[in-house]
Amino acid sequence: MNKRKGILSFGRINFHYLVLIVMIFIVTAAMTVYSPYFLTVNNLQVLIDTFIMEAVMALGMTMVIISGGIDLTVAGILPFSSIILALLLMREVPFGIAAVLVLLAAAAIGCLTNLLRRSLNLHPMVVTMAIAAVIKGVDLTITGGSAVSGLPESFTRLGAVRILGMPVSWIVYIILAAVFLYFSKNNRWFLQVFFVGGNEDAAKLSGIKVEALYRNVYVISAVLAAVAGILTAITYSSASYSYGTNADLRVITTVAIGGTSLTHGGSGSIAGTLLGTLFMAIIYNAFVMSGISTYYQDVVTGVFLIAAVLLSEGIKVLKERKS
Amino acid sequence: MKRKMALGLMLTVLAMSLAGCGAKAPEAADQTGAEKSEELYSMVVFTKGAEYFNWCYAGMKDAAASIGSHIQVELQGPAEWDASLEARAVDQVVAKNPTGILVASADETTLNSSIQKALDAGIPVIGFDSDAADSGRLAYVGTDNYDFGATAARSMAEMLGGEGEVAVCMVPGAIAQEERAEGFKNWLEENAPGIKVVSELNDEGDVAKSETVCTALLQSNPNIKGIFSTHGYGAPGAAAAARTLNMLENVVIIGSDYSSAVIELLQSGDIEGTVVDDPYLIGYEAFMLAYAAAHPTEIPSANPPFGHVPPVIYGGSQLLTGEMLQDEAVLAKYQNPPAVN
Repeated sequence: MNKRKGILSFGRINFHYLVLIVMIFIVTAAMTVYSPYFLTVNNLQVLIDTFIMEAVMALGMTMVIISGGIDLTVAGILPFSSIILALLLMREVPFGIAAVLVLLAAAAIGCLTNLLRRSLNLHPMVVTMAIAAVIKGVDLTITGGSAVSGLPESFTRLGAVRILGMPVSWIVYIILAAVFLYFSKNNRWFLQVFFVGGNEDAAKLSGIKVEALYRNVYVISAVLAAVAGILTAITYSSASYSYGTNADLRVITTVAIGGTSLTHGGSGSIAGTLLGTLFMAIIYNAFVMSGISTYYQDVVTGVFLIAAVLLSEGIKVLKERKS
Repeated sequence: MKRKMALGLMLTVLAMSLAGCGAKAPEAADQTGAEKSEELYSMVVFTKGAEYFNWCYAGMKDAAASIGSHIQVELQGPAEWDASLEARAVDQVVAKNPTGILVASADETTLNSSIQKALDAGIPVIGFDSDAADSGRLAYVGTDNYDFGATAARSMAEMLGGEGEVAVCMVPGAIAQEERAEGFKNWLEENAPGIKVVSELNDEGDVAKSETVCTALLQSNPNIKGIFSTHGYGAPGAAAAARTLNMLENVVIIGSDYSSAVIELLQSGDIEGTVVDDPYLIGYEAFMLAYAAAHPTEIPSANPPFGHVPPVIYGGSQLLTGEMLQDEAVLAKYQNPPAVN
């Protein structure tokens, strides 16, 4: 063990991760004792299904937040993508082409977000909030408030497809998570996101194309929200403006609980987000399992959010003192 | 030290949440009813916390209590109007293997696969309030909107003495509202031919828009003696229009559903009545059907292995008037909706 880093890390494991792992273990143990149904294959499947859309979006959100921004458009893009996909499918556009068109539309929204952020010099919170509102309005207008259903059978069958016993959404998430986890440690561009988020001016001086990097970060987040929208349409064989309501807050909470700092860019990790995702999925499931009023769910996630922020800020302060 | 404090904080929060867990835990079977095993029934709604669903849940709780203390009930579902979140809530509830599930669906299709999974797992599902007709749910308990409109028509005919021109304020295309409007028109045609529906207005389900279209209507046609709105915001808008034009005395306004705004207008007499359904009864009946479906009898069932249940039960609707609200008990009921934990 490295003695100099001893107070902050156990061997090579980050202290924040350790706390999360312990919490996940405690909640799992407590729920297993409390409910005979918690540790069943059936419930574990449901547990993952319940948070899989947020899990997908959390990957992109992590990059946005590390770059020093925030993206509230995801809650609008998710239903928008499901609706556009459904409408294209109903006009007999093949699934592959429809999905690509939806992803391109989302990428365009990501570009627009960055364009407005840059040209108006506004905080990304304001820009993305406005764009989310516009998209939600469009969603409502297109659908007239009712769900889009009666999709072609070739598409609705996708919801029942199992690969190695797993639904399509799991496969997509596993691939995405693996790619993000690998690149976040090895890819030069991912490392630049940390650099830019930590110190934009220094990054500019060192020759990094900062604006292109911001654009790519928002495009990635928007495209992942569209992926979540497509997966939602596959899962429920429908599309509706109601999907993804408040998903932005759940996703941001997940990322923050995973140790990515909301207060200053440049610090965070995909690995932390994966742990945060697991933690949130277990907490959401535990509430339904235990029968505690879900009203307390928001209270508890809020408290955990504050605790996570305090923890990551505390670690940062300690680190600074040490060095 | 800080590390310990942070860890301590996390653990305290966790302990608190677990303590909450323990306090709310259903009591073990041998403590409550030794002879009957525990049963859990879950009500799943969208916009959890909405007053309407709290009434439904209050009905469900009372129905469960009437059967015995071995029946546990719970209210689940997202606080948001999000059909995909509600479908997930159904999936999660199914994983804890309840005896029965009551569902008000956020839309007509998204919950279908989740409801089907519950039925496949041997859990009876009863739809209430908002139906998912193609989901395979065993029964639906709700409001007959055609009859709802007819109730409004009957009251309108009585108040107008069987003569006059009337208008309907609605959102065309919304199925429930179309049914209410049709029930209203058909009842008048058959039973009060002296009353003519001369105008159908689209007020987009909005108070301000309703005021605008009703003002235009009353100005262009002073013979209008009555306005029926098929949704909760039309009557307050119509009342505002009539007040501006000083025509409140000449126009009978009947609304749909109730809210604090509608209650006040009923008390002041600006609105003559509003048609209301009975969410308490709907929740009560829906639970009873779930219980019946979970306890098959010798009566042949249309959905074996579940017990026999009728496919549809309507809770009925009635007119609520300002006069009825003078009764303190009635007023208290509408002013103090049940609270849910």
